[in-house]
Amino acid sequence: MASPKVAVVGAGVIGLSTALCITETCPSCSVTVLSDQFSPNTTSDVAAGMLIPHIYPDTPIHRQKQWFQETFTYLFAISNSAQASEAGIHLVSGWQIFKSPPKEELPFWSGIVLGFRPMSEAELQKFPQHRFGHAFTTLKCDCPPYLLWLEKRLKATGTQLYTRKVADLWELHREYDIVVNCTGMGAHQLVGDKQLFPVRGQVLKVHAPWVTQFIRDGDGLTYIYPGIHRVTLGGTREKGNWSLSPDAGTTRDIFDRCCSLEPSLQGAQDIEVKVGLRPSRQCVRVQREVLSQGGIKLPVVHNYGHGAGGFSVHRGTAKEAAHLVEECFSALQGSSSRAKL
Amino acid sequence: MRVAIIGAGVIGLSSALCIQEQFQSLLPSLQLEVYADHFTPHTTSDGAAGLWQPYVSDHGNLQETLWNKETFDHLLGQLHSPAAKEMGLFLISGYNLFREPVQDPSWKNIVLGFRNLTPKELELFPGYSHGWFNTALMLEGRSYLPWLTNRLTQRGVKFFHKKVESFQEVSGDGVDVVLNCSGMRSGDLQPDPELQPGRGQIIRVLAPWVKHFIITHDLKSGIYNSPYIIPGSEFTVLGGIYQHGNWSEENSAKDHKSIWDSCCQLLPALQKAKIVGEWSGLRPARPSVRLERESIRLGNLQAEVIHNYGHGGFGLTIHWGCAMAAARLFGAILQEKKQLATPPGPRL
Repeated sequence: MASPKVAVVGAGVIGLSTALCITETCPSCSVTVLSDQFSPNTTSDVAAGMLIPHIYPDTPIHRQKQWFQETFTYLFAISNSAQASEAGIHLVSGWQIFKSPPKEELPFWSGIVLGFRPMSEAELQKFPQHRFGHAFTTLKCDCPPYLLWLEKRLKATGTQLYTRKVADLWELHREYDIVVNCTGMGAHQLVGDKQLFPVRGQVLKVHAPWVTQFIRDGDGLTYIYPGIHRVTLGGTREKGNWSLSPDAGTTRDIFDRCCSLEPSLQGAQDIEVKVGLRPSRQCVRVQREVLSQGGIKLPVVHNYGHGAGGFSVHRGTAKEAAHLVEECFSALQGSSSRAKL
Repeated sequence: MRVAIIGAGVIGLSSALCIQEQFQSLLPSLQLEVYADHFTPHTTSDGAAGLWQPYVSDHGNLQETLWNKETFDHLLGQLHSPAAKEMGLFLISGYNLFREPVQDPSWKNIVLGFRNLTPKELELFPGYSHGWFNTALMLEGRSYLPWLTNRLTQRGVKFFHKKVESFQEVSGDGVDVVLNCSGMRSGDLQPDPELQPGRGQIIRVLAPWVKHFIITHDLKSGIYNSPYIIPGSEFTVLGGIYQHGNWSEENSAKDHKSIWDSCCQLLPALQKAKIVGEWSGLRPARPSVRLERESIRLGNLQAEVIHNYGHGGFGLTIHWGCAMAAARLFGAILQEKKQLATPPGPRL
């Protein structure tokens, strides 16, 4: 098998970054991205893209830490390069604040972000209802720019991108040798994963260019994330809610909660409401599988279920998935050479 | 009682506001008049980026450090008020970079979260071995001056578009006190060899992905002669020019190249930034701020002049402390003229 044909299904941050990693680790592979949605209509486009990890209960911490470290290092290098603005990657400083002290004094990622330290008394005065906090500098991936940049990098490697709704992974077996499933919430239907559930998030994207600092309540519900052109105000975490329609009452509530942390947001303009379904799972599924039907085998690599932490670990899981693709490739070569005997 | 304020930059307008706030109710006859040849958006204060940050070394000038602190604390207190956006006031964090170890600055406990940079952070800035991170304030002159002007106008302060050539011109005829807030042109009113221009030039670009200020320092070439990048609410300011004694307000192609090359080296992504403007201004530099009273004999009249000029590149940084001090001097004048029993205002 000279040039294995790999189909990556899904064009959010996971699909695109996984496709890119595959082109890097397997230059002889021919990669095609198939998705029913591309930026600006993916779940990733709703997200703020902040590099603050979400904890997966069933993934070992050392693995999550490695994913985050790899992602941070990768984006740090881009943020420091001439491509930073095109890729939409930038540093942002701010605070994570708590009404009561958090269980863990130091999150596992405190040494990976920059300048992590407890907030001073003077800084906490800005948040009279909160008694404790962390100050640090991290990275933000703005979408659509980051996804468009990934698409551009992919096209430069010769990767094809097609709008196509894949109803069943098996339908790809004739055209492709390996399938990579990066369908996020779509995996619920596509592969029938009942462990995958939506956590609905509604956000506001507003024009408030004087907001330079991020603020995040440790409960994860209220946050203010300044992006290149807009500030993302959040949010909600509604487990099991599949609705993609914005809710007016929720909009009001998010706005009020954010204004109580940052009063100057009262002057925000051009409020845009967006909804996304975080493709949530107890652990991220990065795993090989071989589908078979009537003696025909189709190797599949899964990379989905990143929930609230997609951006934070995307590069790390993409690399892991790309290694699994390599393993599939080796297995295919092994079996094809056996077939020749 | 008429008071003439010469100058409508941040110093003139804030001094006028301080005096108005503290004395108008006690002295109903008080009439403030602002005279200036330039108003916002054409003043030096409008051209400045607006970052609150004193110089790296205070040269032992404790008084100025106190005025800086007073200004920062006053602005911090305004941060959550509904006026903050209109004032052009907001928090900003950023980096000060050095090629050698330096002493902590006098303002380390004034700003928020001051700390040294970690080795990881220094990787962002090759060539710089030490640095600081802190959270400070932006006060954009283009917003702050109109806000001050509106407040003053609402309170009955009158404005006159006029280039004042001498103190005599505005004093006499019922004007008892003159506030000299004429910045760079104070020398035209009264020669002051200590007042010299510190010429600066800046390039304005669109780089909204830059969320931190970055100020580099070259201790050998002196303040502001090393690249700096200061993001604002509408554009990002690139600078790094300080030419002592240069009176030119024309943009120089050589300075443009120097700023552009050095800032792009600091932040490579700036190469893609769109240039939307360029400006040169004269920092009214002086070894120390001149903030003092002077009695001037004009014919058979005596006028009290309060000088408040020479704030160099830190006018916005120090303005409120100086305005309060000018108001105290005004109070003392009123007391002497037996207009007031005791000076009002908080006991400091």
